[in-house]
Amino acid sequence: MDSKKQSYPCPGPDRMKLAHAYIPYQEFREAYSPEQALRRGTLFPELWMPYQPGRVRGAY
Amino acid sequence: MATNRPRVNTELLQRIQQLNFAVLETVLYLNTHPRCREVLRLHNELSREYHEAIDEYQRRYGPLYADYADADYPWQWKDSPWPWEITY
Amino acid sequence: MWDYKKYLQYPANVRRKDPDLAGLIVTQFGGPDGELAASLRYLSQMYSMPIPEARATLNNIGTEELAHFEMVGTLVHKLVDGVPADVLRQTRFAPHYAQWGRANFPGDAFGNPFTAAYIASHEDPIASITEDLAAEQKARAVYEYLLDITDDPSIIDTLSFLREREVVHFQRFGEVLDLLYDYQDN
Repeated sequence: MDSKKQSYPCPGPDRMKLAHAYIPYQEFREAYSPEQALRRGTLFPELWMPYQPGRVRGAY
Repeated sequence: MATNRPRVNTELLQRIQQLNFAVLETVLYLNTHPRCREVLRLHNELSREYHEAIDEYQRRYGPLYADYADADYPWQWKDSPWPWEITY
Repeated sequence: MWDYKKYLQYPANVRRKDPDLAGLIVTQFGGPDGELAASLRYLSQMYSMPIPEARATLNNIGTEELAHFEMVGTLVHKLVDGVPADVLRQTRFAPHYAQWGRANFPGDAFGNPFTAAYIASHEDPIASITEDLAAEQKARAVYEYLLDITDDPSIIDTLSFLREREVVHFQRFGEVLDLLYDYQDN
């Protein structure tokens, strides 16, 4: 896991600058089957973030 | 003449949708992670499966691409069902 | 260049006709945060991006948005196809019918025609990608509004898929942003 991390830009607090937006880099762990992927709308379980109408607006 | 064969196989089309989608996801991932060998391998595997499914579908049910090389007489690409006509 | 595959990216079925809903879902066909806007935005920005990861991401996502444009168009079409004119007259689809019949027209839920004023494309890649991040959030938000106002399970299924795509696209644009920072520092 660590060696993979080094090969990606990974914004740590020391690297972040004010007035710049950062989104964490995805690191591949596993993939859904194509059938499950299509049903969920993504191949990657960690990116599956379905709508939860009970939560406050914008939370996902 | 190929006019009497079934025009659609929704099950195989669904498989094609699944494979095409999985490939696309690997493409988007690889565009920002070009050195991820695992996903590269996954991309190639899925793409191979996808193209096999496409070949099978086109052979049995008609063209999914306008430039399908074994187009039958009479020309079928224009014919239904178009994607918005299908209930998947 | 572009080619066409004769199948939808994801199914777009409807359980029952609903011209009122058609006039609302159309916002994702030709409205400010819809798929046509997304596609043209990304396919306009890709040319002057300084790094290949950005060009490829914009190209592939911009292309995917056209598939979504087709899906939303399919939903709108299926919701009104075959509905008699005297029934349409009683719905909020009536003005659309008066102007265009049952044909799809790229506009928003108020009937405003699509405009490129919905998009931005800048030589400054940070400006463009930030615009793209915002666009994906707005699209996600709109899909949630639409999910709030229908109980048709087939439509919910399709809208949920499209919504999840926005989440994934946001992630990819976020990664491109980081790659741009790296490019700027070196």
